[in-house]
Amino acid sequence: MTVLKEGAAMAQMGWLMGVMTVVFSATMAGWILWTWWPSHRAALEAASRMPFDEEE
Amino acid sequence: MSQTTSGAPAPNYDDEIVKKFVVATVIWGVVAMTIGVILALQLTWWPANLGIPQLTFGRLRPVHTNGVIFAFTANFVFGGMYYSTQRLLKTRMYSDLMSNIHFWGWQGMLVSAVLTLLSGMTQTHEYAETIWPIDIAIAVFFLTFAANFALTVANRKVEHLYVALWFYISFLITIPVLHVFNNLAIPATLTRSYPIYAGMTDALVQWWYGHNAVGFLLTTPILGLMYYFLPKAAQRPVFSYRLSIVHFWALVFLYIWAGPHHLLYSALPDWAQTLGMIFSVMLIAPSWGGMLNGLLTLRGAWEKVRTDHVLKFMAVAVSFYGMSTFEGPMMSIRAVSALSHYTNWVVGHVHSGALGWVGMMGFGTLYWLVPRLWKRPLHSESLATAHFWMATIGVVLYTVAMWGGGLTEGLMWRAIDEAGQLQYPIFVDIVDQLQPFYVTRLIGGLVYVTGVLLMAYNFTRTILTPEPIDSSAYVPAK
Repeated sequence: MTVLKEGAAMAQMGWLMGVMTVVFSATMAGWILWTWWPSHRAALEAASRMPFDEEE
Repeated sequence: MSQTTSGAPAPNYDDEIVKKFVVATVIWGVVAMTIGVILALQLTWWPANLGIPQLTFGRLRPVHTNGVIFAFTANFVFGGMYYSTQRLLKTRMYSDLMSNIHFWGWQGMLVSAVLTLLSGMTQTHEYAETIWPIDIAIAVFFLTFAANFALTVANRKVEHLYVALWFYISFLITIPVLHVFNNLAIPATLTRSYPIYAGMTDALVQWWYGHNAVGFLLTTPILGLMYYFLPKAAQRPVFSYRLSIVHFWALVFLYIWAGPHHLLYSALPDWAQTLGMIFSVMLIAPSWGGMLNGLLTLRGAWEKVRTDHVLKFMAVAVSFYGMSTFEGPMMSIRAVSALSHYTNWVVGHVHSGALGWVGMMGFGTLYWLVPRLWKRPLHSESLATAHFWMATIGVVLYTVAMWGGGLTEGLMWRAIDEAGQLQYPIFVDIVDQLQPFYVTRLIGGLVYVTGVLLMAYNFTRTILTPEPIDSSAYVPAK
């Protein structure tokens, strides 16, 4: 129970929740931006064809 | 040695291991799903246990659930992974010995699990009932595969890791962590142990494991297979590769937090319940992103879905994935859970995922693999089509019956009369009302399993057919 109480206390630390939300949101936004960055388009389109580059 | 489309010679892939897992999948699928039908029969007519302890519901039920998860699903996931991983990395598996240790060890573990569970040996944790020696075996043989996979990745002939491989990696990392931490126990005898957790902590760890077994065994590796086999069957690349990358990272980040929704209205701290609920609702976004990516891959190929049974199975599978991943988050909302929890609605939800998503993707993958692995046409396209319709009708009958039954019992449990008393205070009266739903579920299950038996017969005839004289001339329908 001590672990749960400590977890509850930490989760109720507003500043920590705020920082975590910003960090995770920024990471996700950055990741989406990287994925849709125009210079990555050709490489990712080529990657999408990998299942077809094999013997059959 | 044949050629790749880029002109390079194709490596000598180990397809024997894929064949073994395909055969094991079919055998375990028949066993696990037949037991499911027996259980459905027992719920409508309890004397079906024949008074034999090994056939009672409490012992057969974990054999069914573990059989579907660790035998049918895991075996087809392993087979599909061995097939696609080698081709995506352009190299043979690092070690044939490790592949075979993985295969035979896993099947031995499954047989031991069946025998011990039927004998009443259990840890009483859902989807983690097996006793501690078998838990160790699961970890050892799974990690053998993970190590073989990692060494194959290290030995790869291409730089980029296709998105399917990322889904496989999440499966290989997460499942051992979940399995080991949920099964931490102090052995007392060879067959008994005491868990290191107690009370609410035990429940929280259990459902952190339980829900992520759904997420990282029944979802992510199968999404990986979808991203490989669906484009192959449709003969066109995935609709949006970029969306698949976002799908992966969003899904694995959100899924791991969703377990506490199994403990709403329990002694779990309120903040933890809310956290589980919120992350479950957020899961709709990546789940539907993946579903749309799968369905839109069929854009321009819908004509093929009419005639190609592989695509039929996969299109329905992805549709059920979308329905299940909408229903699950809705059921995790407190107000909805108050009605649905502990009712047959949950059973219906689980089976729309298991029969609709997992089963259909498994069948589609198997129908794609068998003609190619054994280098001969499928014995009967008509039987495959019949299987498709039986599976579809079976899963619809099953889930609709359980939704109806679940709503019925949920509403009857909470019904209050004018005096503020329970309107239906005698539990067995409510159970009695469920009989029509249970009978419909039994019929749905029977239809579904009959389809699986047709598939087993079709594959047996296919495999036993003499190989075409010039097998290289045979190109199966793509």
